[in-house]
Amino acid sequence: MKKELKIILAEDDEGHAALIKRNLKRAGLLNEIVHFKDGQQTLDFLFKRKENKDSIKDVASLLLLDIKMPKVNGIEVLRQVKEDEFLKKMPVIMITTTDDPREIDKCHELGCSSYITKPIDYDKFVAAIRQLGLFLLIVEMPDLENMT
Amino acid sequence: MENQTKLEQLTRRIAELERIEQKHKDTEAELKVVNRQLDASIQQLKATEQQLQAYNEQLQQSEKKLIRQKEEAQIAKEFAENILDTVRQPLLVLNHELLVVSANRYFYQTFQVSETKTKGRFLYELGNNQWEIPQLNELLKKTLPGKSTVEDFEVEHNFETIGRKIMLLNARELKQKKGKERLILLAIEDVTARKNAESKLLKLNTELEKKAAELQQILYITTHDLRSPLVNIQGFTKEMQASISDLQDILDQIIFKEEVKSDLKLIMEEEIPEAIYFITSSITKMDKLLNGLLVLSRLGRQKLHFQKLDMNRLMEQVLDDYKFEIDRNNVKIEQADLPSCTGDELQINQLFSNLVGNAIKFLDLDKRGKIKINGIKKRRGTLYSIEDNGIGISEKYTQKVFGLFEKLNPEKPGIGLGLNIVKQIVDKHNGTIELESKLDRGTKFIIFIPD
Repeated sequence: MKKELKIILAEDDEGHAALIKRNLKRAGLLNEIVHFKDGQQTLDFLFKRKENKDSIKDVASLLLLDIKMPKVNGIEVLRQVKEDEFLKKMPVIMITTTDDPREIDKCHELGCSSYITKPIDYDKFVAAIRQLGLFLLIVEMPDLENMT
Repeated sequence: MENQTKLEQLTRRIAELERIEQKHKDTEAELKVVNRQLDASIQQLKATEQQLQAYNEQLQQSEKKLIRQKEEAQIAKEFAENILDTVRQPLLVLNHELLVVSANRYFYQTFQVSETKTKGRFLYELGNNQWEIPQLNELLKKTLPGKSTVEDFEVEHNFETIGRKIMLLNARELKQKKGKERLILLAIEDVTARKNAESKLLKLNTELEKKAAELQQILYITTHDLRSPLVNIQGFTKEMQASISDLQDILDQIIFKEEVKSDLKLIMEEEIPEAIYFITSSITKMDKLLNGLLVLSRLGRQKLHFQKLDMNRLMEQVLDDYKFEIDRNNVKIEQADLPSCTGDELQINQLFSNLVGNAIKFLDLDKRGKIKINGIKKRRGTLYSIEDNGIGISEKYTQKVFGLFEKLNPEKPGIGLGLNIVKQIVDKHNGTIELESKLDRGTKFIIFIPD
């Protein structure tokens, strides 16, 4: 049975979030998107959710994670997610403003699934988001319920 | 009878006289012998006297010599002491027990102690035990017996009278004849001022490095933060374009009055597209600048990984990246066999990539482009040159080209960062870069990368 996929979007810039949401929709992804504006909110949600698994039955999740965020940055969120036995199987896609090789290396080292640079060239951005959307349509996400 | 008697008496007398005479003769002979003996003795005495005189003279000479030697010794001593006193560095002569045998003027001056309270005293009791420096005693007692010299031993000590001092100690055993007591010459160099200056310099340097790192960080964050809103401006401009296109479709279905139609046309087909064009091109320009700044900040933060580089292979990669443009412009590349050099692969690649890129960018369109790449091994590194027959640079700008955001030709693409990056990379490799150029003739960059 294909489960409903929930997209968790951690992005402090409202504009970027709006652009991502719009384009995911345009790419045909009508999944629920939960948006958090900083790393702390994201962690709170993820780790609280983990404790109340009953409420999230049959929901698989994917995390779209911006790196530069207030309070707790994306790299730290990624680290905590990947350190957690329960959450570490959740795919994490980094979406960031710069293509700093050191940051990319760091994220891959910590175990992110994919890395997308927010290009100024909007067409590339749309293409990247579309690709992501297609990727999400094709790949069946492991659900949190069966991860334990 | 009387005569008889008289004769007898006479005879006896004669006999007696004869005896006496004989005795006299004997005595005389004896006397002669004695006299001869005496003569000999006198002779001997005279000889002895002469000898004595000679001895005396010798003695006097020896005494004179001694006095002279003593004088000379005194002169020598004074000479040595004068030298010691002239030396602008405190000096101490110690015996094996670390008793002060002598000290020079600068010692007394520097440490503000008197001669009477110094000579004949133990080093550690000088100036109210101010010299009780454990490290120093240890050094002199333990190190010196085995080694005859101690060099630049640093001691930091707080003196009651003169405050905290940092001293460099040099000790040396004075060469003495065998059997004489061992003497140690201890030279004390006050390096407090130098050390203070050094530590100040070090502090300033650390601060400078910190500031530079901070600046790098600021540059990085600013660039990053500036890029973030740009993503929105660009993204929403595109969104707006899409909306306008949708709007146009809707407007197309509506019938407007004639007088509105031309206004609408002006807005929809000229004003909005023009605004969007300028917004978009400005975004692109700004993005390029920000990317350049990001490259710069990365360059500043990057840790270099030095290794021996196969320059033929590296140049092949560089030229491969420009293959399209080289082919399109029919550029002739003359590349010699390049000797290797030691450097960071990514940065050296970037360096030559920028130079080759520039050579292509500034080719003279009136003639066939030619780029010559050479390399030669030097004693302490490798010298490379990249020469083109392009438009060249006027002599007055040859230094300016390495400046940040210096753009000589506004019609050419780019933001004036390439050569600045080249210069920074060369600097990071402790190398040099020179530029020879003539307008309309071409440009030659000469790069030296040390081993």
